[in-house]
Amino acid sequence: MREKRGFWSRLEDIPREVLYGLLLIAFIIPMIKPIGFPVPVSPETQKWYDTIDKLPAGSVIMIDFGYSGGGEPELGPMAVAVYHHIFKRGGLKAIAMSTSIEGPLLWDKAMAEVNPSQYGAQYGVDYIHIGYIAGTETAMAAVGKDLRATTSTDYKGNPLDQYPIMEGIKDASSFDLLIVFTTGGDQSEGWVRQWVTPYKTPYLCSVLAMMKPTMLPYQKAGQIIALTSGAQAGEMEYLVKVPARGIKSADVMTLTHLLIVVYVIVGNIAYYGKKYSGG
Amino acid sequence: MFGKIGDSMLISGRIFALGMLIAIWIFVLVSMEQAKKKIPTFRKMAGLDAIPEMVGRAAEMNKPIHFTTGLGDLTSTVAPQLVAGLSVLGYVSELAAKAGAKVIYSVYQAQVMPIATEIMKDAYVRAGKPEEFDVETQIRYLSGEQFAYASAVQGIAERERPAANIMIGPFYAESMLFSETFFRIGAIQLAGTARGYQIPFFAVVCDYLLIAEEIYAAGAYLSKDPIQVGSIRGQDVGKMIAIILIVLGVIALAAGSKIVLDLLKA
Amino acid sequence: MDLGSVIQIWLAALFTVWIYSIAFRDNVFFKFAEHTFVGAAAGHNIVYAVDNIRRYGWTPFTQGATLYLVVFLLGLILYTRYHSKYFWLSRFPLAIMVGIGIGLSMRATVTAEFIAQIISTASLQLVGVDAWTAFSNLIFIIIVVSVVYFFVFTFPGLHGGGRAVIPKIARYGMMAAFGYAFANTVLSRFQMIFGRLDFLMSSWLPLPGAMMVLPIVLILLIYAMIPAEKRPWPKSS
Repeated sequence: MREKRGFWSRLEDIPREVLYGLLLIAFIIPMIKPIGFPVPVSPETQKWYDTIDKLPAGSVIMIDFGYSGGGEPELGPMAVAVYHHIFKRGGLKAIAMSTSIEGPLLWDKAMAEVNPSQYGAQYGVDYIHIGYIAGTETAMAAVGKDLRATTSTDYKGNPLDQYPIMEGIKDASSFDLLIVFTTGGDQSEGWVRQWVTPYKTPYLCSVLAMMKPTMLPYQKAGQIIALTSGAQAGEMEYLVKVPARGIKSADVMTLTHLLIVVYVIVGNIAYYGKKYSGG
Repeated sequence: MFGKIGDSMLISGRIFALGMLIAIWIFVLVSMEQAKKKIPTFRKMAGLDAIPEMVGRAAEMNKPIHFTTGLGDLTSTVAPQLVAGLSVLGYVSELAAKAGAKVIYSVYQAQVMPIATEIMKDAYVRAGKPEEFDVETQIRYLSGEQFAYASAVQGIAERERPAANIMIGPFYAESMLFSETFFRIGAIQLAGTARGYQIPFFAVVCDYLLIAEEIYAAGAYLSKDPIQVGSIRGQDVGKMIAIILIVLGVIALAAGSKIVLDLLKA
Repeated sequence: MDLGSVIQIWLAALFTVWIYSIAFRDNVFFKFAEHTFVGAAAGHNIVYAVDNIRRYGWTPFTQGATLYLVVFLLGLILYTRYHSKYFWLSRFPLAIMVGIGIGLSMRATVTAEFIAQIISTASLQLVGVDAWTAFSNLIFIIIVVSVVYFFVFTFPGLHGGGRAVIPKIARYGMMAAFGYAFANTVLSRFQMIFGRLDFLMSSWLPLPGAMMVLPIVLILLIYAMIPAEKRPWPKSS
């Protein structure tokens, strides 16, 4: 009896070093030797894609590049794929701002990955970044009310008036679509309060997978057109036909999640084994 | 392409919302007045009952209690969560001072520091041990940057091995880092946040939990502040109205009438 | 690749390995990375804070928006909190900031988060739809109503006796939702780990010398994880 109890207890308390070690192996194997699991496209990613695809020529998009460095591995690939789509589709104006302090730095990184010039897109003509604007919801409200009064320069400090893309851009009513990439719930929800509710701006929202359950009620209530998580970047890359980090991660995610399922099963077996073998 | 707002005082689609807002204001104001005369009774919250036990354990083990209000900010929607956290901080500090345990409060936003100092100082005075309060070691400003703050808190956990960890306030991605780290060092944990994103992590790892708005109720209950208590009471009435509207709406719709939905959209 | 990018990749790679090493055990390299990060983040924040004052305050002020003087004054008054006698003055700008923040976020809260959610739940059809949809809708309505009920605090009678079953349903509903959210978090975190591993494998390891340095970094890390009393040198970290 005592031996048995020892076994179940040991099984329940496998050292985390072992668990993490196995997990690390599950990460590395498919990275070295990809398996090629399929990437099915979910309805919401398709809806997101269609929303951008069906925008009339000349439409202006506000993009909140609002994720932090920690969220880059997840949201970066999604943002890159969406920018590819915007440029590929053509005839759209993409004005970015950041509600996250690291946003402008990460935007630079994303643009280096997208390489807009391959689509003939020019900074200041087809796309721009107007900088980090402090204050989260205050920033959203201020930009929505009067963009020029909030900031008069782009993220490099150059006057906005010198850029053709900014012609006629005044406030929230100048925008036909709002796209938000964010790691912050205050941002993803704040945009609903500050833009969607007062100005009825159509809203596409991409958040960390962990934030999705909390954002779902907004989508259900029709306040968000399409809600995706960064983990769905592979689907977007597939639709836009620019395979990159997102698709690459699909195999890894499948394998590591299978391992987690095994961990959960083992943990439960150990728990009940310990319980029924007398404590 | 979208119509400008502000052309008229009343905008169709928001009239009912305005009515509700005014109604809730009135409920809250009336409840605050009533709370000044008599504090209403609160339902039981398991998380709160655990605090004395946590403090006692820390005192017995001669180890500190770590307290954080998360990435609390005084200027945004999360401010009430921070205030609730600070109310609990006052209560915990008082218990800890009486029991002879040390509370370490990790500060994220500098603006909160003077407020926390006052609260803890008051708590030590109430406990009759003002001389035992040491601002320098007990209130620590770590960083105003999320992950830098998180690393620093993890550092405190690893190095000072607190016996208990209490986290009440607005938490973000650092919630799991905190709860995991303190779990690993064997600290008993109570956590509460109204940020829906983070509750699951707390639910999985922590010993005691205050779910979402329970933190406001906890803050109000502990502070006995008529303003906080009254606002909880007023909101309770609002919630009951929400329940009634949902149930009526569903029944009406099932009976083929959109009367409730039309009213809500007025 | 220019030298700047090479140095950047090397630093990012080393810090990634050092920071992740905490998953196994605390060690001096993690501490170093942690402290460097805290310092760098503080520096970054200060630069942005100064830049914000310049961009959104000083520039418009010098261009004739004299009202910004009031804003600067309020900002300066915030610092009186360090004065033993005039600390109370700092409460005024603080009150203004809190007021603006809460007012702004409240302006659409009732519509966006109260009415819109009630409409969304009350619009669910229970008749005239297929059985499965009706069942899902019913579950949804029951959970929403019971969870709202759970959060009624000051009417304790609602939580006693036979009515206690309602908050119980709410608890189960919330726990299921937490489980769903938790699983999504695992996904999020794994994406992050993948992102860093992908960076190490596709950006760092192909660089000259990286393959040779990696084992040295790992050996040093493992050595640093040995408790101070059990290793020959140094005795404390």
